Amino acid sequence: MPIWKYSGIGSGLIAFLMGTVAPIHDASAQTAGTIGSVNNDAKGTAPGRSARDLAVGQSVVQNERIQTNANGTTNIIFNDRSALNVGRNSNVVIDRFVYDATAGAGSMAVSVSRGAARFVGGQVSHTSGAEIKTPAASIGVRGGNVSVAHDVLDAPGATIVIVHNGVAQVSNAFGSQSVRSGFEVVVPRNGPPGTPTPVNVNRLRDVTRLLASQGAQTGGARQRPDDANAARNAIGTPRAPTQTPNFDLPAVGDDLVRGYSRANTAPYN
Amino acid sequence: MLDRMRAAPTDHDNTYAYVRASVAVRDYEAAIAALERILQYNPGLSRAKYELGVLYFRLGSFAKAVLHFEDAAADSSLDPNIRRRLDGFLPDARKELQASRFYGVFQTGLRYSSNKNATIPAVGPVPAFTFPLRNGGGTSAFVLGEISHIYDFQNQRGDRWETGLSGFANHQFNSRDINSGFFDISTGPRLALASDWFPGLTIRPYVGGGASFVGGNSYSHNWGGGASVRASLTPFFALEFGLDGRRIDVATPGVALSRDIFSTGTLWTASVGTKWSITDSLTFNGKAFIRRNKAEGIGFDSEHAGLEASLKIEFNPPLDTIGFRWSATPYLRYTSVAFKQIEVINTGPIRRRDQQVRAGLQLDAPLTQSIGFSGNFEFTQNLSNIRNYRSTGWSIMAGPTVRF
Repeated sequence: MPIWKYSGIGSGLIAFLMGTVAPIHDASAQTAGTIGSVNNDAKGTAPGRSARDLAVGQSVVQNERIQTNANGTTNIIFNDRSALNVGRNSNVVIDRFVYDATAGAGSMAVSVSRGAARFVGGQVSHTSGAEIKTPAASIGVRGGNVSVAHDVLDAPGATIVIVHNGVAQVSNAFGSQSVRSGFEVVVPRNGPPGTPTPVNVNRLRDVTRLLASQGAQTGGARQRPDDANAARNAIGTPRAPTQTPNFDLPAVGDDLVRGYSRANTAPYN
Repeated sequence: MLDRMRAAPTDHDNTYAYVRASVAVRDYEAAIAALERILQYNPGLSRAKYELGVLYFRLGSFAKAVLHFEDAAADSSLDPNIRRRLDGFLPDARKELQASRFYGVFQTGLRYSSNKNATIPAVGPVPAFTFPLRNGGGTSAFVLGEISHIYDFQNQRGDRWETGLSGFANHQFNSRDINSGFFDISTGPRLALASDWFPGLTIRPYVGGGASFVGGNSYSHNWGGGASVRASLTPFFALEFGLDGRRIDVATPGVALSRDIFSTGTLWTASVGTKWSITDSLTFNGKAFIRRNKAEGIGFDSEHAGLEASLKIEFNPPLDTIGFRWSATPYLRYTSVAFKQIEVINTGPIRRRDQQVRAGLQLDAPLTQSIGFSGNFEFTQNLSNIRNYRSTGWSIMAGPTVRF
């Protein structure tokens, strides 16, 4: 990840550009994203409007509230290539989404008052970062991809944050934790974030289940994609890489490769 | 393409095209977002699950990768070729979830060298056998291996302890007096220097040592340590600066001592290297170094400088039934050695200067998760201002590999 993507310099510069050089027009009128999939019941309530059933292709605006029931899930595609999956029994508000495609920067904030959501980062989270709020925590996402669940599963009243890649800063009034890729943290409502621990695959599976279509659900698609169609589109073709750099054959095992082997013992880091 | 996808999210062909385009520019997150949406339309789509596992694997998100691979593997109708590919990823993804993990690779086979004296080209941080002297051709059997271990401290800085042990043994069929071998070990922590604002900046202090053998006798041993600082400027480009100090003892007595480019004494090496993943299947490694051998014997001090480069090219194997990519790695190394003083016994009144060029091609062909085949061809030329040290040679080595 480039230094500037992580540094205050980058976000400061972007804030400066947004504030003085390239002001973004009335954010409240800006379309934040598009509904990419939906399993009903999932409703959207835009500011000043009544609740509507969400449907694939509809626009979502800033400050729109998304609510789902036990069968409902939805996926929102944002202008900066990021995406938000909203799980079952969830209540989520798109507090802020502004994005200047020309500058390639903007800002984003989402509130999850109940349920599960998964954020897959795009341009905004890789520049100024994105923010996800729950009643228990504020989660700053720098790059990457996180799952957030509040008041569900084995953590009533608490927030579970799972960092899939990138770095998340998880904080509340009682403390703060930096959480790296492959770790999760549980934040109680009235206490500091817990100690980050390696992702529990079973918990990850439970959270993912909350976010996914089940059984015969089609996510709003009239025609379901199938494996034959995926195969025609070259999905599922990649092979595992070879690990030659970790393979110190004598002929290439002197300073060149050995230097990397020593410095880079694991093949995937 | 994004606009078209937003206008028609359920146009699956367009979404797949978007996935391919995103992968081509290594925007794996964009591809993930699109494929996860595809799974909302059909949660049983095993190809998409496998592809998602691969994308998360590439991002280093191994728990998610395991989840998707396991889901794909649970589908009994999964294409057998995809299952083989999956078998290539899943064990590695599971291993990456462990705090303590080992990696190993071993090879055995035959090697022919047109110059038997070059029984082993320079090996390790301290080249163990670097005789440039000419000799006839010869065939040998070899075995080599390397075991690495990582212990992840599981803190949020990403600190860990890295250890590597490697070894080589060569049995010459017609000149047992030059049977040879070596081992080398290095251990030390890798520590984040600025995890908050520059997570890719790390330092690795280490200690290490090694020994080599010729004809069943000890030839040299060394011990020392150093540090390397790595700056991963992007996920695909890293620079590494290193400083290594060693005490080396070369056992060969008498005048033979000067035939090697290293002598008993101290050895300091400074280096800068780069690793650039140009595309998903093309990786460049480069390194420049300078080295000084302060010898105890009069006339054996030397200064070294070198440049090295390799380009790893990964490609799909000829058969769909092989789940791993193969690779070909051409490489080139240039080293100059200048002795500081005249050493009368061996070189007369001339201060010796060598220039060595080594060029080769490494082929690596894994067949299964643990079994494969590898081969290497190398051309070596040593230019020297002392006639006796000039040589040209080539070698070829090949044999099966075992990895874990």
